[in-house]
Amino acid sequence: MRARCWFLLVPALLLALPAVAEGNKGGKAPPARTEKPKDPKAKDEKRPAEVELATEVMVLHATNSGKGIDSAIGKMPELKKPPFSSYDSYALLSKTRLPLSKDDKTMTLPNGRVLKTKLLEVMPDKDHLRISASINQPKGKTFLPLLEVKAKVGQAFIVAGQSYKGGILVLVIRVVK
Amino acid sequence: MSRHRDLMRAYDGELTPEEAAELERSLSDEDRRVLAGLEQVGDVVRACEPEAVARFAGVADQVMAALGESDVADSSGPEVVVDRGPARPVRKRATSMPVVVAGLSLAIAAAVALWVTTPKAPAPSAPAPLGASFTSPTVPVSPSAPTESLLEPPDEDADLAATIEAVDFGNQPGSIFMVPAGDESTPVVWLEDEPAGARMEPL
Repeated sequence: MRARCWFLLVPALLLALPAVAEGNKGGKAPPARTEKPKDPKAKDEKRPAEVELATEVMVLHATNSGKGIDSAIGKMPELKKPPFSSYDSYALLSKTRLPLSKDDKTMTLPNGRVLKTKLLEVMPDKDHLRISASINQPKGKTFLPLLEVKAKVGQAFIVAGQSYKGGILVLVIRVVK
Repeated sequence: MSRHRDLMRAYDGELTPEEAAELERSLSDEDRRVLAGLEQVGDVVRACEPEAVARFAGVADQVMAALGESDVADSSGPEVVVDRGPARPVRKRATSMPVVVAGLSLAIAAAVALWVTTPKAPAPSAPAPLGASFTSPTVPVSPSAPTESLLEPPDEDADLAATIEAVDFGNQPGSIFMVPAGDESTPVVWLEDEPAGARMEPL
């Protein structure tokens, strides 16, 4: 009888170990989980921040016309790196500030297409944003249906490759305040 | 060989009187030495029997106790143990069962512990795309898929550069890559546009 009890006791104790481990693990989990639930009020708190944020869209025209890089562009070491270095001239066609909000903000590009940006969400750390961008062709097919980017203020991303007047368009989109 | 068998049968008393008489008449000196050897072997076996019985008698008691067969517990006499067959298998069974049970329990416990402690991957939330990672200078993305998704970047990289989380190139080919800009990098979405003259200009 003593041996039979041992048979039952040992598996019971061993199987109880994971439960204990789960209990300890559960004790650490709640703080992380508390960040995920989205409170509608929290969205309201972010509204002021959304108003302040914007995307600065620089439209550059890359060509091989031998004119060099427009000084109005400012410091952009990316333009001297491949594949941008395959063009020797960059001209600043426009610099537009599009306020970031949950609603679409649009601007018309030199080639007639329309760039649309939208704020998707402010990350919990309130430092990073998720924004979307798309490029549409009025009365034509969508050129860039969707682009979602996570960035913080000061960071930029580039959308390039659209043909325009013997060169290409380079859109430098930067999150600014 | 048959001669030795006949001698063993004669020693064990298994021969008929006629066969025994015939064998007795034909015994050679060697046959007599074999018979004498059998006698010695028998003496040795008989001398060792009590010791062997005593050696395994305790095992039988343990087995009976483990099985809870109290009614069989009285059969701890030497004859009972010998009649139940060799003691070694019984002893092996008595000792291996706890080991097997404990081993299986350990394996199950380890598997459950691994399953519990392994962080669960978050369920994908369609159609939300996955994050994009740019740890390498160039990360080409096939334009065939409507929505391209890459891995989540490390935290340190996320602070150094914007992150492309999803991109839909539509019908034209495209690629995603990083261009170094000093200490930081800038993600680039490069689209292969058709020549300006080949597409329809807006009205």
